[in-house]
Amino acid sequence: MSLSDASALATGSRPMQAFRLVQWATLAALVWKIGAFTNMYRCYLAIPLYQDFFPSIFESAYFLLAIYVVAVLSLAIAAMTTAPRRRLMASMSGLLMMTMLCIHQGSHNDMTFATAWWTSLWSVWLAGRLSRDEPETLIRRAAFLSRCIVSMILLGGAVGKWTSEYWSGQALYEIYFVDRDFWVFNGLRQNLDAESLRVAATWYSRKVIVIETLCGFGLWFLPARWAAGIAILVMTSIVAFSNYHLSSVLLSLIGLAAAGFFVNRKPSSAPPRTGIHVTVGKMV
Amino acid sequence: MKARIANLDFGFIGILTLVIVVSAWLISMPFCDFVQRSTINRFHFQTRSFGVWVIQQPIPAMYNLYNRFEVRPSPWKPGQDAVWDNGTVNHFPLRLFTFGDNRAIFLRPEEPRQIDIWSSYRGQGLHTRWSATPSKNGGFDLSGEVMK
Repeated sequence: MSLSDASALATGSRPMQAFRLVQWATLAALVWKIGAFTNMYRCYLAIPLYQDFFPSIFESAYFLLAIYVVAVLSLAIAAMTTAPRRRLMASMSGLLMMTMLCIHQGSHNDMTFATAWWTSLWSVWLAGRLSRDEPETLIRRAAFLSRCIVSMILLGGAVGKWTSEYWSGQALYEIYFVDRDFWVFNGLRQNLDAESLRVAATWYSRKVIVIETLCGFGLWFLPARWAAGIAILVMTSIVAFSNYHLSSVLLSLIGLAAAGFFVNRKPSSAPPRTGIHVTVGKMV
Repeated sequence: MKARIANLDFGFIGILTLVIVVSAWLISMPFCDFVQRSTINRFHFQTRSFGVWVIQQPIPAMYNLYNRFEVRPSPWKPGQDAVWDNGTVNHFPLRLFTFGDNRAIFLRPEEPRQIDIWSSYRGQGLHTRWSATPSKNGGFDLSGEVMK
């Protein structure tokens, strides 16, 4: 199959639709932060911090703004372009910018960029395969990889909470229940006495740990559509019941998880049953 | 043979391998002192080099460890509150000084500040003290030390 034939085949194919959805979702995650980012930028310009640990370029507010803007542009180009080479270059640029956002003094702690880093890595891989592989095989592999990544990220959240302070609820009690202005915690504070509020924090925290642990260990081997549905439900519920600011962290992952919906219910021929199949030989 | 190798999806294999390696790292964390220490050091910028810290950054760490902080004026003067603010944060506790609006909230021009941060995980812990002192270049110099 020639590159132009493959490119024509890929345009509008399920892998292409999944790729575009992930770019738009990651773009939405970054755009969600524009207001906060503008404030951050002003603070960083007004109050520079010099810390020996970071190379000076990774302390620069101007550099942070530049990589954020290039990241947004890269995602927009990757989502809209029909040229395979431009798509791949934009995806690679996006990954490079996410890498720098993950290690800049002013953004390293924001998990928005850590989750976007993984979706960008997946995007670079898929952008490089869109014109080469048969769509049905490719979308199965893409969906498998997407749920492996989502599983791993949720596992990361779970493992760090396998401690007495989270199991007892003390950590999340102090972070959320004491004074966080959010509808769930405001409602609980209004309706529960101090002792009951502390008990609620314990069960809330245990619920988070159990769900993240189950998804971390289990999502990756579920069927593609089930995994996508459960992952999206779990991540949406995290935003709805914890903190709307987590939207930027989870939007890119919700897009990535949705790749599972692009897998055909019934394979038309005899494609591999799992995503760990590695293609060898000519596809058409 | 060459054609078979040329058609192998190395990108897929590479990402899957990376996911497996990171997952193995995460799963070993409750049992492995080295992984616990590495994660705590990462949160406190005590990793042996910036390069090693960079490699760890894609490892998901949201709401990891039990992280507490206390912000104080520095040096403390009689009549001032000894502790200006304290609490618990989800991850990377030094973000109270470095991240977003917090920088403007906690760091006022020409006013030195000190923040103590503690992170703990299953018996392992680290306490570091960070001083923000007005810099001759504007802004603040931020330096930290490990507390016993």
